[in-house]
Amino acid sequence: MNRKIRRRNFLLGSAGALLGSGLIVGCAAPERESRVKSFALSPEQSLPGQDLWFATIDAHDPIAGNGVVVRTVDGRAKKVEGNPGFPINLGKSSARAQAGVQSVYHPDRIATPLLRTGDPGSGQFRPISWDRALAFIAERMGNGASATFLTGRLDPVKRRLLDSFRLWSKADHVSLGPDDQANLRYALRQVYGVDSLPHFDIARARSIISFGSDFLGTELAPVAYSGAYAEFRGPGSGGRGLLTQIEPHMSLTGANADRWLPLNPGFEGHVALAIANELVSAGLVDAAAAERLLAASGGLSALDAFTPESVAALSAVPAATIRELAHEFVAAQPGLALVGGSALGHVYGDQIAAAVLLLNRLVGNDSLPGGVSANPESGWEHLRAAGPVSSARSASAMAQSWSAGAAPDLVFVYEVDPVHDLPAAGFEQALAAAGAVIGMGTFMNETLARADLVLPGAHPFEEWGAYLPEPLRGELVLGLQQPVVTPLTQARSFGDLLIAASSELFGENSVLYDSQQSATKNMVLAALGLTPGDATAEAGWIDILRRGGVWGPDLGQAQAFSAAPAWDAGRLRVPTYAGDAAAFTFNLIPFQTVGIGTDTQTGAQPWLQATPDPLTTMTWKTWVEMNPEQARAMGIQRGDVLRIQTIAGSADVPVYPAPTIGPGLIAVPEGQGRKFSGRWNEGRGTNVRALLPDLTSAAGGLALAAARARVSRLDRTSLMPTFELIEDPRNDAESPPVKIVNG
Amino acid sequence: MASIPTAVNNEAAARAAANAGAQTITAEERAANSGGIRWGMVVDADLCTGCQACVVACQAENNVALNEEQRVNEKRAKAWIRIERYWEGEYPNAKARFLPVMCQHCASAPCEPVCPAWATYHNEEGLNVQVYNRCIGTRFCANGCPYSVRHFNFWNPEWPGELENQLNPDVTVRTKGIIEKCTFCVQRINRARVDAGRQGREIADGDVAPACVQACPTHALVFGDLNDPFSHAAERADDDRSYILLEERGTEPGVVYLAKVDPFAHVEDEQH
Repeated sequence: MNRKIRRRNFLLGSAGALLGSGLIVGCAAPERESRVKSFALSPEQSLPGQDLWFATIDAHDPIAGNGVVVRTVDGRAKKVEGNPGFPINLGKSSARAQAGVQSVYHPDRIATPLLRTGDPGSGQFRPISWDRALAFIAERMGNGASATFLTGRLDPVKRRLLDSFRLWSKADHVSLGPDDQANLRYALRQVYGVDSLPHFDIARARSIISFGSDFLGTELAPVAYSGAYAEFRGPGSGGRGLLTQIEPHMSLTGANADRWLPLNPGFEGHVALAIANELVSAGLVDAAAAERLLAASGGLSALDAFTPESVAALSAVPAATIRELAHEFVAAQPGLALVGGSALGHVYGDQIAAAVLLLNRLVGNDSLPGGVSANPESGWEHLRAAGPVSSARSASAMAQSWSAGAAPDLVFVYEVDPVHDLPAAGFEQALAAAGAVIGMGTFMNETLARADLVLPGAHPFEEWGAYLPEPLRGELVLGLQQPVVTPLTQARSFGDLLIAASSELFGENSVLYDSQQSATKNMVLAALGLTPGDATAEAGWIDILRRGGVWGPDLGQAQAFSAAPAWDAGRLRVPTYAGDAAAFTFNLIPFQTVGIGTDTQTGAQPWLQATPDPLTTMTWKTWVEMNPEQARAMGIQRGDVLRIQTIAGSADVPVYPAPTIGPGLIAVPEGQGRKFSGRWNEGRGTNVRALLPDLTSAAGGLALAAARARVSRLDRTSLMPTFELIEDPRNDAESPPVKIVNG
Repeated sequence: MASIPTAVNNEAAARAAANAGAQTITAEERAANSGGIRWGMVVDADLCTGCQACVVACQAENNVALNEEQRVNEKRAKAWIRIERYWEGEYPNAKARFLPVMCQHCASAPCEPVCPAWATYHNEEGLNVQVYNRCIGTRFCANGCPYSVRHFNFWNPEWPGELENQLNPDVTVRTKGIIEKCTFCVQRINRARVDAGRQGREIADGDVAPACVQACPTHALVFGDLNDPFSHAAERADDDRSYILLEERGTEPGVVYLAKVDPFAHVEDEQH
C-alpha cells in the first residue's frame, strides 16, 4: 500500500487524536500504522503551537444542528467555527455557537455525581463516587420498579440506546421539545400533510411576509436562514427581496424588515386569511384553482368572513395595507409566508400557523424557487429524527397525574428543566410524588436541584452522537458528533450510563453496543450499508468524521405534499387571553434574544449573559419593554422597577421604554430567573414563564403570549446594563452614522 | 449503497470558505496593481442583522476579558467589535439601524501621534498596531479616537477555575493599565502568511478571515487587501453605497461601510 502518513497530515485530520492517555476517536492514519508508534515519542498533540481541528455538531440552534469545527490546542478546546462543508450552515455560526467552549470549561459545571443532602430544591448536595452512584441507580431501578425517563430532544443514537434500555426495564420515555413546535407541526400536517419541516426558500423568494417568525434571531435555524437572507437581499433575478414582518413586538427579524407592521396579538391568522381573501376576490390567483385547492377544507367561502375591513378592525392592520400586501405577494412571484414567534403562542396558535401556511399554497409556491418544498426523510429506520416529542399540554397532564398519585417509582431527568420551563404545569409537586428522582446534566438547574442523585453529563463537545437536523435544503443531512476534548470532570455520556446500568441490572446480553461511541459508528455505517470492520467501511468512517457527517441528494426518501390542505379556515378563532381585561390592561409577550437561550447551558455563560440584546443593548438582566409614549404618560422612566402581575404570578422587573412595542403591550425576555446554574446565572433576573398560566393550544403548544398583565410602578429604580453609551442614539440626526439609500 | 464522501481539510476549508467567492490572484497581478498591502474591511449595513455572532467570535478569539454586569453598568465593558443600534422614527414607524464598529485602522490615525511611548503605530500593511509591552496607560490614544474603540484595562482579567483553558494561545492576555483594541486578528494574518510561505507563495486573497468575518452568517463583513483591486474586499468597497464613518475627521479609515437599503425611506420622509 503506497500510503504515506506525514506528521502534518496526521495532525490536520480532524477525525481523531490521542488526547491525554485515551484514544477517543479513530484518526486520519490507518489504525495499524498508528499503533506502531513508540510510547517514548512525545504525543503529537502536545507540540506547542500545533492545533487540531475536529468536525462536530453544535446544537444551539433550536433544532438545526449546525456543523462546526473546533480548534483544540494541547487537548483543550479553543475556538468554534462553522464547518464550511456542512450544508446547513455553510461555515457560518451564531453567538451561542461561538460561546460553546466556555461551557466546556465553566467552573460551575456538575463535576462529579452528587447526592442530595438538603431538602428537594435546596441545592445542597455532596459529591459521591460513580460506583456509589451506579449502585444507587441499580437499587432504585431494580426489582421491577416503574420508571419514566424525562428528557430533552434526543439524537437518534441516545434514543436508540434508551429504547434498548427500556425494552428490558419497561420504563416510559417522555421527550419534551421546543414549545412552539407542536403548533407548527400541526399546521404542517394540516396544510401540507408532512411531519418534517419543509424547505422555505428564503434565498430565492422576492417577497416574504413573516408573521412573527424571528428566523434571523432565535427561530428554528437562524444561522442557515441568515445565510439565505443574505442571498435574498442580493440582486437576485428579480431584484432585492422585500421583507414584511407582522408582529406585536419587534423581533430581530422585524428590525431587519423593510416594513414592520405591529398588530394586536393573536390576530396574525386573521391577517393571513384577509390577504387570502384579497388574493381571491381581486382575482390575484386563479379562483377555480383556489376553489379546487380548498374544496376539502371549507372552500373559498370559508374566506368570506375575513375581509380586509373586518380584519383591520380586529388586528389594527389597516385594510389598505392588507390589500397592498396581497398585491405585493403575487407581484414578485411567488411570495413566501412564514410563521413563528408570538404568533404561535396562543390558544389558537396551531390554527394561526395553519392560516399563514395556507397563503403559500394559495399562491401556488409549492416546490418553486422561492417557495416551499418538501424535504426528504431519513429512510434509516434506526436513524429517524428524534421521534415523538411530547407537547406542553401532554407534559402538563402527566405532571398532574403524577401529583394525583400515579407517579412512577423513579423519574430520570436528562437535559431538560420542566420546573423552570413549565412552572404552571406543576412539575415541582409531581417530582415530589415520585419514589426517587435521578438527574443528569452539564449544569445544575431547577429540576435537577430536586433530584436525589445528580450525575455529571458530558458536554456536546465531549461525546458521540448523530443528528438529523431540520430544516434541510432539499437533501438529507446526517451530522456526526464526536468528542473534541476529553472531559476535565467526571462527566459521562448518557448512552454510556444506560449501557452500564443495563449491564448491571439485566446482564451483559441486554447491551446492544458497548459504548455510545460504538453505537454511533455502527448505526451510521449500517445506515450507509457498510459493515463495521470492513476496510471500506473504516476508510469511509474516517472520511465522514472529517467532514462532520454525510449528506447528498441520493440519501433519504423524498416526501411529497398532500394534494390539498386538510385545514378549514373556519377553525380560526378570535384569540382569548388569560385575565380579565378590566383588571389586567396589558398583554404580556415573552420573547427570546440572541444571547442566552431558554436552556441552562447558555444562561450559565458570561459571554452570552454579556451579549447585548440587539434592540435594547441590554445585558445580564431581565427587563420589560414598554411603549415610550405610554411610559411617559404613566410617569415611567427607564430603569424604574415595575411590578407585573398576571393571574399566574407576579414579578418585579425594570423597564426599558422602546419603540419596539405598542401601547397596551409589554414584552419580557425569557431565559433568566434561575437559582442553581452557576455564579453568572444564579439569582439573576426573572423567569417570565412563572407569569404564564397553564394554557396550551389543542395541538399542545404552550400559549406563551396569551396572558394579560397588570403593571404598577414601584418606588425604586434599577441600573440598566446597556451597551449604548447614551440613551436612544438616533439615526435621524443631521449626519446619521448609518447612511440610508432607497432600494 | 450510498456513496461515501471524500475527506476535506477542515482548517484550510474553514478559512477558505470564510471569504467565499473571493478570487485568488497571482503575486505578479497584485504587484502590478497595488502599492503594497492595505488590510481593510468592508461592512455592508444592508446585510448586518445585528445577530452578535461577530461580537462573541471576537471575544473568544482575542481573549477579551469577561464583561461582568458591573463593568457594563460602569460603561467599562470591552468589545473590540460592537454592534451599534440607532433608532429612526417613532412607534409604529420606528426603524432600528445596526452598525458594527471596530477599530477603523485609520491611515491618518489620531491615536498614533499622541502616544508618548510609541505603543501605537501604523505598520506597513495598514494596521493600527498596539504594542502592549510599550503601553504605559496614558490613555491619550483613547481620548483621541473619535470612534471610541480603544479600551483601557482598569483591572486584571480573571478567568475563574478551568475557564482559562478557553484562552487562545496565539493572543496575548492584556493586564491592568494598558489599552487594547481590534487588531484585525493580526495573529491570523501572521499565521496565514507563514502557511502561504510554506507553500512557496505569497499570501492570497481569502487566506485571512478575522474571527468576526468568519462567523458572520450573512457575509456582511468582508476582509482583504483594499489596495488589491482584485480582492473581494476591494470589489465590495467599489460600490455606490460606500461611505466611511466620520469622514469629516479626515482619519482615512481602513473600514468601508456600505449604506443600508430601505425601499420605504422616502415614504417615511413624507410621513414625517
